[in-house]
Amino acid sequence: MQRFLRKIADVRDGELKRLLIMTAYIFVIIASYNVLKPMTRSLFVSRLGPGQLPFLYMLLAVVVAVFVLLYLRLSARVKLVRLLNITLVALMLSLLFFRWLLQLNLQSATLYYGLFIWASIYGVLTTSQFWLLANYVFNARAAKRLFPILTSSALAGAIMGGYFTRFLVKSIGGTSNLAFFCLGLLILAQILMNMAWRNRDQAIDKTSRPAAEKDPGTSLAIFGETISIIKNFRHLRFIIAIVALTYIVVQIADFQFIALASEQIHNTDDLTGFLGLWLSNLSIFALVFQLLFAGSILRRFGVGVTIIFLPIALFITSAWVFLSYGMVSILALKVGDGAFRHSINKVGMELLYLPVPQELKKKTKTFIDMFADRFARGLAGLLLLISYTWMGLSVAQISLISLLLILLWLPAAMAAYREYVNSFRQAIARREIDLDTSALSIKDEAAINSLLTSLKSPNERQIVYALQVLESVDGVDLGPSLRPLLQHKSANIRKQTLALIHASRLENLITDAKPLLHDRDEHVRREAVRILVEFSEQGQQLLSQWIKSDDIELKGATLYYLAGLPELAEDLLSPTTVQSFLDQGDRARALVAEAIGLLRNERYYPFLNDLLQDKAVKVRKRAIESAGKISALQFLPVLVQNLRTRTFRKTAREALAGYGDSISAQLTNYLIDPNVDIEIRLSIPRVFSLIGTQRSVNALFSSLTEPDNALRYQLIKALNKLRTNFHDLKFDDRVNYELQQELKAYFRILATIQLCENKAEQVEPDKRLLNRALQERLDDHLERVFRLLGLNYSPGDMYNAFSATTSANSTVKANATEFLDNVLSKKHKQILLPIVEELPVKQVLENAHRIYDTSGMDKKSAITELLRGTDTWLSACALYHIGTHGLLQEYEREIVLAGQSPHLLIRETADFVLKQFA
Amino acid sequence: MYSIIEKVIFLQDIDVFKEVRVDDLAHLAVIAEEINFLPGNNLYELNESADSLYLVLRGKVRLHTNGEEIGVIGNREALGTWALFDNEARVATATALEPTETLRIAREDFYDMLADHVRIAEAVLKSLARKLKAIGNLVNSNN
Repeated sequence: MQRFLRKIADVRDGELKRLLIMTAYIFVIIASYNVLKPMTRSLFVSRLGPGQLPFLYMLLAVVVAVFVLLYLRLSARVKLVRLLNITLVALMLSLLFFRWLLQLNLQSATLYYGLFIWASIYGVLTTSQFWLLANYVFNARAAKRLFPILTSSALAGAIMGGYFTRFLVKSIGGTSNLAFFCLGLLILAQILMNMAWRNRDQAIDKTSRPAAEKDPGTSLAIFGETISIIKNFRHLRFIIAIVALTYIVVQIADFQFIALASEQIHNTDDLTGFLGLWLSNLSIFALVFQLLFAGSILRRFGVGVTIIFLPIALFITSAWVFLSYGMVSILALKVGDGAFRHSINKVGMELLYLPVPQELKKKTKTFIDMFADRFARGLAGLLLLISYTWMGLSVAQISLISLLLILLWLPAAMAAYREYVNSFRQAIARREIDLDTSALSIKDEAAINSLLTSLKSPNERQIVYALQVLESVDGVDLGPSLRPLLQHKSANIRKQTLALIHASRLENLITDAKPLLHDRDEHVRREAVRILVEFSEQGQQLLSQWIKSDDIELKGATLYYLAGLPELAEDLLSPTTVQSFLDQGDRARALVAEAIGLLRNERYYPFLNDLLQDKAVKVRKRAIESAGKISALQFLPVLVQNLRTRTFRKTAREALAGYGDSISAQLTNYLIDPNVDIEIRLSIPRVFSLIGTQRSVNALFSSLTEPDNALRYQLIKALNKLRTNFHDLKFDDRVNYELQQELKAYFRILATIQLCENKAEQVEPDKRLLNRALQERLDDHLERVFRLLGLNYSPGDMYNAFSATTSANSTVKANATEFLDNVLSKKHKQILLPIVEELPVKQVLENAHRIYDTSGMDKKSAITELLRGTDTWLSACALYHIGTHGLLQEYEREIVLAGQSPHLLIRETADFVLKQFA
Repeated sequence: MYSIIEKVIFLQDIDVFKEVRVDDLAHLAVIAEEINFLPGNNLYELNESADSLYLVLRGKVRLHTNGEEIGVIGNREALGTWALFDNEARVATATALEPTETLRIAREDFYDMLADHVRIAEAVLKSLARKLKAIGNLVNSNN
């Protein structure tokens, strides 16, 4: 099955399960919505009549918009999986509630208004939540490949939902009992949703949260910002106009359809079945049209024609309804709407957005989803109220309004197309078309011509960009445009051209690509080898010939290609071949180092072991990267040793992080071993912060007993990074324990400063060395206190509060104190506020005495504690303090002990103090 | 031979290191090399490529160009500070007037150390920024 799906949709390893769950999930929720839709519509019109529909449309516009805004605000504050579960349970309960009200057979209009509005909210919530989850389950690249499958499943769900309604409505015991069927689908949806969450792509959590979950901002802010964007962007103004006109006309058509159906079908269950059946049929029309005609129309006529299909179809069928009102003409109107709006028109409208910068597009689309769509539907309600309810026009005569609106729509569509072409040219020049998130391929002739023209640009980046965009273009002869680029002076352009030739399988350019096998650029040669081998029937023969070649550059490109194909490499490569590269200079060795990482074959690991200690920086870096990719335990000791040198530290850190959790125990051993070089130990916390698992958190916490201040700082900093970048990790009560340790040390230092301070000496810097060192330690402890608080509270807030409390600006400081007063728990406030409020030291210490036992300290015991402590720098400063303050006799024994210290700095300072001040 | 702690005491007098923490000055102390000069010996010469800073620990150094004296540097004063940031040629010759003990910090060692200790780089930049601000204020007040 995976092989089949891989063929049709490029489903890759590890994606199948996720895809199947999500496909089932969207099918179920769309099917349930398409059961509810006919059910609520038929109940509404059969109980209240079509005359109430205009009021409903206006009410719907306001209520749904307000609800969506409130919901968006709520969603920014609740974790996604919880939000999804709460929403689904709330929908199930409300469904049961409405079913109970229907059973009471109430004739209240409020019930049917409420039910209709609730069903609309149901549709908005379930679908938007699905796509929100989909952004967590698949990354942007996977989304581009797999979302069309989900869209197809949604369409299948819509079709099946309508048919379920049609065929179940009688056998289930009437329209209102369809609620039970929907309930079953919702329960299934909840199971699938939780399965999808458990199987999501964890890397997405680790990098960035999908934008959809971020704070949506206030409604007014979005409204205001979008209005100003639209004012400055002519192309967007036309898009908004088209969208608004589409929704008004479509809403009027929908009214006409329901009104006629309710006129002709009086039994509620029959009406429900009829509406369900036609919802399905319209979806089938859309699907068939999309599959059979949309692509070729788009390719043949471009965006310009694509976006006028719907208005023309609606114009013709509305005229038909006006001239010959009846079921046939009304169904033709709905078929025109259904077949074109959800297929060719949707694609055309999406393409119109293509030249709009990604950021503006996101904001405008949010605006359209939140305001324009509902505003237009509300406006349609108002027009219907005036024409149908107040002026008494017939359902057929209402078509005149549609015809007038379409006469505005058509010139707006043509103007939008002209703007599209202009904007597209400008967007290519500015490289603003988003290749990652655009799920569309470019088929429009004007757009393709703009791209081909860009290939002649003097601007290198513009050419490269156009080449990348052209990868999405099918069925165009690119040969004449690409040939000159193969000789372009820029290696990057030559490489990108070859990449495009490969991606588009332009086999007629193979002869032109051949000379690039000997190109001066390594990456160009690699692309040339790929093309010539893959486009040739004797590919394997060529490889075996080139790998034995005397041309080391060609041989190198061949090795790189083979490294990516381990099965072929097994036949064509041998340790002897690899060995032949090693005495060919740094570049050849670097290539071998890189290739072994791709090969992942133990036969070549001894080479990598040597290359990990290579003298050439480039070679060693590539070897480190390869070792990280292979993640074999045998490379671990050498990788760890590479943490010692600044040049290789970053690469080694990333390589070690590539091993993941499997080396947590070994890394912890290095971290806590005092015999290991301190530079290595200081680098390990950052490796854990990159691995980002609960075991990383545990390893860092368990190492916090380390006395070295710099190491402790790195450990806490790494915990902060984990807290910021990985949202699911748990930071338990150990935070509070460590917080207490830091605060205890803080107050002891503060007490020592107070005991050792002599105001008369403040002008003599030599005598203030200890004081200055202690003040700096105090700052360190305070920073660590805030960093630890950042594990319990928002790390960003705590960092800002720390910066503000250490600011020289008293207002900033006061604001930070006020903020902390509001945010911290009572227990934390009690300890921290006296420090940041800058109360007199005496008062702060009195407060601390009650919590931590700092009483009973005197100057002698404080200095002795420093001398015997683990902080070698403070010990040295204390010795110097003894010397400069004439306290040698008092501390004679301590100085003798210091002279025997294992730490050079302490021994050296003790000697100096004795010689200088005795 | 000076101990680390003595070197730290001396280094904290240098203007560009004013913002550097004392425990970080210990790292600077490690790369500060002791060099002694006899009277008449040059620490550096005019137009020579500037590659290090000198801190006079004991003694006196005369700064001069073409026989003309610019100034005399005494105990715990630094000369050639900008050599740490700029490799322009020396603008004067520095000659020891009496037996002179100095601490020398070479630019290459200094940059290596900054790369390993970002906090020191941050503090040095802070000092430089303050200095620039002070110069700016001076210029403004003169205008």
